[in-house]
Amino acid sequence: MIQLKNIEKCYQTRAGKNYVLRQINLEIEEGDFVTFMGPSAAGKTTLLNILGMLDGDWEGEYYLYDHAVHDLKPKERLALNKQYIGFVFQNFNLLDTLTVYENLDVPLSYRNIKGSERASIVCDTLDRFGIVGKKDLFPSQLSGGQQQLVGVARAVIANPKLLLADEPTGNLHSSQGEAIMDLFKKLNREGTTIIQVTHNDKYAAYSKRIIRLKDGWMEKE
Amino acid sequence: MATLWQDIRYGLRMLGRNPGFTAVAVVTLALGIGANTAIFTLIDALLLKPLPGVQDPQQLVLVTDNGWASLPYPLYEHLHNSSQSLLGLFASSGVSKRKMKVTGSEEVKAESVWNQPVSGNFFSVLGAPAVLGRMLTANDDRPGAPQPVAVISYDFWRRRFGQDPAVIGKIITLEDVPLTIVGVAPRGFLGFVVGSRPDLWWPIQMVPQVQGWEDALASEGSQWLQIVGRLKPGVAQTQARDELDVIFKRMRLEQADRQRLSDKKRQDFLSHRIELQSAGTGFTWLRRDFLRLLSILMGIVGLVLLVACTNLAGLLLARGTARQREFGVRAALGAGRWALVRQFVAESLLLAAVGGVLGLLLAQWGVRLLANYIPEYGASVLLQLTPDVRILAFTFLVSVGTGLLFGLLPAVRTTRADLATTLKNEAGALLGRASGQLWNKLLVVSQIALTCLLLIGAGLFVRTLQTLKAVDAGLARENLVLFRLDLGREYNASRRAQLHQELLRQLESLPGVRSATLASVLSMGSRGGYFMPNLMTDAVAAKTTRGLHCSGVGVAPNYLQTMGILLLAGRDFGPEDLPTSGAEGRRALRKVILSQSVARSLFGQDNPVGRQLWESGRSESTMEVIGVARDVQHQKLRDKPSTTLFYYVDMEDSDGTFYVRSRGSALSMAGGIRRTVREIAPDVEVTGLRTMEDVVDDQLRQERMLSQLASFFSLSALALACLGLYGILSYAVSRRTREIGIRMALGARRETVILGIMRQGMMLALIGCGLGIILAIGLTRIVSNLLYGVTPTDPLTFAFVSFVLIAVAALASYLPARRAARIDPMVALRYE
Ligand SMILES: Nc1ncnc2c1ncn2[C@@H]1O[C@H](COP(=O)(O)OP(=O)(O)O)[C@@H](O)[C@H]1O
Ligand SMILES: [Mg+2]
Repeated sequence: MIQLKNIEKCYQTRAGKNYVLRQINLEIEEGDFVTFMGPSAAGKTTLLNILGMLDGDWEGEYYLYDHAVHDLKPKERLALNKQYIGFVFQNFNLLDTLTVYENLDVPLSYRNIKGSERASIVCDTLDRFGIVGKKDLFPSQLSGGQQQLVGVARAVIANPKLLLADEPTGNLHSSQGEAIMDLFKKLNREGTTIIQVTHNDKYAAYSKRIIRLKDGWMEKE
Repeated sequence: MATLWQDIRYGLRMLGRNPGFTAVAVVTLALGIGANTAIFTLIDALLLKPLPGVQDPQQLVLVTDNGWASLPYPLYEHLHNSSQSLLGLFASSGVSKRKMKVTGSEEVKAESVWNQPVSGNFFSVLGAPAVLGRMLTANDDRPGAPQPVAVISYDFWRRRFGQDPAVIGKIITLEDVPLTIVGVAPRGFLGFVVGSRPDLWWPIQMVPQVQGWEDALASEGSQWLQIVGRLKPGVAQTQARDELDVIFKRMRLEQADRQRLSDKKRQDFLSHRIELQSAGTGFTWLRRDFLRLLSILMGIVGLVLLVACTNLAGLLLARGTARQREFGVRAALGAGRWALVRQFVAESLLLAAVGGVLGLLLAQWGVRLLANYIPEYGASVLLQLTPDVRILAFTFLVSVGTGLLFGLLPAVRTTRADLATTLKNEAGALLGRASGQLWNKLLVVSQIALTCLLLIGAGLFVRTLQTLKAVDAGLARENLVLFRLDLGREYNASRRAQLHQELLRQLESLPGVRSATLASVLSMGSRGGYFMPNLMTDAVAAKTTRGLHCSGVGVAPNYLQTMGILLLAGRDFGPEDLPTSGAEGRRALRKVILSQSVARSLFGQDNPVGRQLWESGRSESTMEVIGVARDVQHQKLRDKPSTTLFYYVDMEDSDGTFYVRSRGSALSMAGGIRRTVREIAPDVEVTGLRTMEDVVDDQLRQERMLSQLASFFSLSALALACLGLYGILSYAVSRRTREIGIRMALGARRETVILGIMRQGMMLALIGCGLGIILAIGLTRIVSNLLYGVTPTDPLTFAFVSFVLIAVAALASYLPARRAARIDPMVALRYE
């Protein structure tokens, strides 16, 4: 599903080029559940952003299915992002002026889906994640675990093939964290490919593969 | 459609979440858009509204002689009888007030009604059918045999006659001339003169009777009519013009031959030509007086709105930086750039829409205040100020334009953020981006520059008004009241003279009155002296055949004393100077007083008292000088003092003005004056009783309008610009809290911190001020002919405005700077 060949990323600083990713070669199968681990500043977030097509400024080759992402224009990358990818953030990143219901609706609103259909998708998802009762609350009225639940629901609402989660449990208590990981497990079993970043060995154990990064280099599995 | 609705809904919620920001933005916009709408409403009413109740107004054309729209009656007759290219051609005089009585009613006192003499085809050419009875016809206006009839307006019918159908056939008197009401004009029909609402129309052929003006219809020199034609469908305006011009030329030629003019005069006389102007929006002299003023005001309020836009753009830019995380998340969830910009702009447009609606309401109120500045016949004009499609469209377009103007830049800049970075950071960590700051600074600088321009403009207008107010017209304005008498037709010449003399005597004996007099001029007002050409003296006659032109003013005794005009030599008129009646007596040596400049021109350094002068070619007009007075400004303060010759007023004249100088407050005399007149002549009405200061104020109405409105708007702009400066500096301080904390922990002194922040603010203010001055040097020339006593680049005004602007900017910078200096390093460093 994903093939990375020799991905490199650097930032231009006053002192010269500062490489944050070096020679990343990686293949990920459809249905996989991958964890990126590594110390702070290893480049995990950077790699995830590249995979999620939020970052377009890198070198190397990136194939998603048969799309050669490295050859695409920003507009086309955005279209791929819309079609295949869902994001879960460490700090949830819910839009705090919108209710739970409206937060879930946001990704659909960018995807040319009819209004009536959107409403039924949102209701199904609320139901599936057991948050129907919370649909008119604002994020500030939810606990951290509940917020991340909404975050995950929002990430999968448009049926992405690939779920990217950057330290999704970083801001959660352990019990809440486990609930999220159980949810990931379930989603993965239902067919979603998942790539997550975590510092926690227990949560890493939920995944099928662990990839370690250090100073921008990938260690052997 | 659904997404639009959603954008709007979310936008509303965002605005609701920031009530402070929303309130400031909406109020700013409402003021800006309201001011623009108000000025536009006046322009619309004066210039753009098609005549109400008139059929196909676009076919109407106004006939002018070289652009001059007041024409003599014989020209109308000529054009009317000979032209082929028009469906019709009517003539109408101005709308004015006259005394009316309804015959058979209990009411003894006459009421004054707005009325207008019109040619018989007035209504048929305009296409206004009667709702009751019939309109005027050509037969009513038959030359030499007019019918004494009148048509009343629908509104007058309702207001005065309670919509009684029996009004038809009622007889009224207008200035004591009986007229029969034959019809009621359609509802909403206001005639042809914009800003007026005539109650009554009557045949122009009745003018000699009603106005007591015998040769009105025969005089070729009296310009008093507007002539209006309706083009035949398919006939071009130029075609009609050419045809009318031929008729006009033929008539002029015949007149020129008859008058035996000198070559040069003849040439000049024949160079006139007919020009047509589209008249679908009616006619008013106000256009000539106020259009220029209104376009300048439109420019001013446009600039104020621009300042408001710039201000809001700055606020949104600052807020947008704080919202980059939101846009980052939206982008990660699949929002394209366009979707983000749309969301952002939707919010701006919402703000503009709310501002626009409030502005429209505000304008309804504001335009009434503005209309007070526009006078006519001493009363406010009755312009149609209700919003119409054009005004709604104008407000809509201005609002949308405003929303885009202040919304687009922040939208484009905010949504351009680097998503990967935005998402990673907590909100706020990204705020220090240098380019965003640059834009913010540019916006503040342009606000200050525009404000500087506006302030300079306002300063020039204020100085103009002050200078004009301080003009020494040669007479003392305070404690002086003036009034006129409205004499009925029963007052013939001898009764008039008797009344005038008796009244002067009684007034002088009123307690509190210093002196009273009568003069043929309405000083500082609309009536000037009579033209007296070619004054000669022996000395002048020896040198040349052309004498001195001057303005003759008839005055009663005590004129100089009452008006406070300095007598330089000789004496004032006394009762003994009254020209003895009878043809012989009157011709014998009229006594005159000369104004200083006339005396100097005619007699040089010699003492003129006791000398003689006459009008060239009329030796029977010989006059004897009894005194010399200081030069006086009789009419416009802007003009040079007039060269005046005072002669003893003809007491039989019916349109003199009385002047009363009092010891104390001028207006306290009003009651006494009215009582005195009532005692002498119960049937005579005192009109136009006002203080001289009021009359002068009235003359300065346009200047006052400009200086007051320009001051108000430029001060509003100043407030906005300072708010903008304050905002950007406060923002900079909050962003640099940590840095300032570290600096202070390292030993920076409070003064250094304050100076550092203030330097930033003052730099922006100075650059803005400099740009504003450059703009002003380029642009104030546009208004140079509205100025008086100041040049468009008056250094004093420029310096004063710069000083005020910099001082206010310093205050606006000091407040955030002081806050920065209060930062506690320990608290600041614990942040992050
Ligand atoms: N906008 C940026 N400019 C310069 N360097 C950056 C930027 N963003 C991240 N980096 C650097 O890239 C490296 C990797 O960062 P990141 O991928 O966030 O690490 P991780 O998520 O593994 O903690 C770090 O050294 C960080 O300093
Ligand atoms: Mg990270």
